[in-house]
Amino acid sequence: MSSDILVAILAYNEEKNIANVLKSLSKNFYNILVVDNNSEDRTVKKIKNFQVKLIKHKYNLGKSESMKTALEFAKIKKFKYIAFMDADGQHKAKDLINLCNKIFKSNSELVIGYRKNLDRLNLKKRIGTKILQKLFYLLYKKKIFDIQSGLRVFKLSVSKKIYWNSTGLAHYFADAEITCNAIKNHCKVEQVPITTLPSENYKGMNLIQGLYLILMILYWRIIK
Amino acid sequence: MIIKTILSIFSIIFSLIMIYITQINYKKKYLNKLSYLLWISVWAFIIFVSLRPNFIDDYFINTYKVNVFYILSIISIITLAILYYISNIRINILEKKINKLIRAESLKDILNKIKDE
Repeated sequence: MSSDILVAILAYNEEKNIANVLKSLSKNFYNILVVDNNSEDRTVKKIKNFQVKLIKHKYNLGKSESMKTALEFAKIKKFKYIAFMDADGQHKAKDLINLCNKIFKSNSELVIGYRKNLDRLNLKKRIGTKILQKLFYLLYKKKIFDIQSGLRVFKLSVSKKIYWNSTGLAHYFADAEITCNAIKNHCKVEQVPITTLPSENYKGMNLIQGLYLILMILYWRIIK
Repeated sequence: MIIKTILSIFSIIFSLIMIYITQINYKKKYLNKLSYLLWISVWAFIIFVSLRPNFIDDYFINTYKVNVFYILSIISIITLAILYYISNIRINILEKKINKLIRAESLKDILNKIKDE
């Protein structure tokens, strides 16, 4: 894969999955960066077994700030593209390759991976995802299947347009904010279907966080 | 009458706890002497008003012909809103500074490491 792309993995207490994630990625990508959010387990020790760059935050700043650190690193090192992937093993390297190929060939500015196997989610998550899809379409007039997918690639040249501010309690909404900013600022956005492992094994949002995200989507559209 | 007494007891207990907390924060040097004295006066005043609610009522009704409860409610709401706003802004500024500092330090570490390689 092109050396213009930096793959950023955001990790926090992922000692069980990080080795497999890095193993699958290092076969295909030259530049891999792991941003560790001050993990308390052996995540860092496992990362050090691989030829990847590691940034360790001294305190847990949340996902949003880790993404900012990775973006800053990519800017300093003058990469053209940055890809984000979760460290929990939910995403597959071959899907990331598809996303990268899409951004190279289609000349799009942001490529988002969306779960094609929504029927594998439980009812609560399926309803939540559908509500977000409908609300997003209503507000932004564009059909985005998974607005807060953690697997995405974008050009560094659009980083100013899509820059995110979600922090504190809302630090998990950075992906959704990027999507909203990209559509609002007329960036060229493409979507690629991806397969994810059954989501029951992974942390999701609860009802309160879901409602909070809906409020934030309204805020990003109307006020910001 | 019973409700008034219960409310007074509640506010006295609450104020005493707050005086204790203020004392601890002052000892830990989270508050300077001026803030410490100011907060102690506020809680002491609340205790006084709780013990003798008629004192203020009589003064305001006789002097200005208004019910003190109405005035106090408005002042309390405005004060709460101002205090909430100030602390919210201060927390946001502090959070941004801390995030920036930690991120800058982490980036510095890796850039130095790459330079050494």
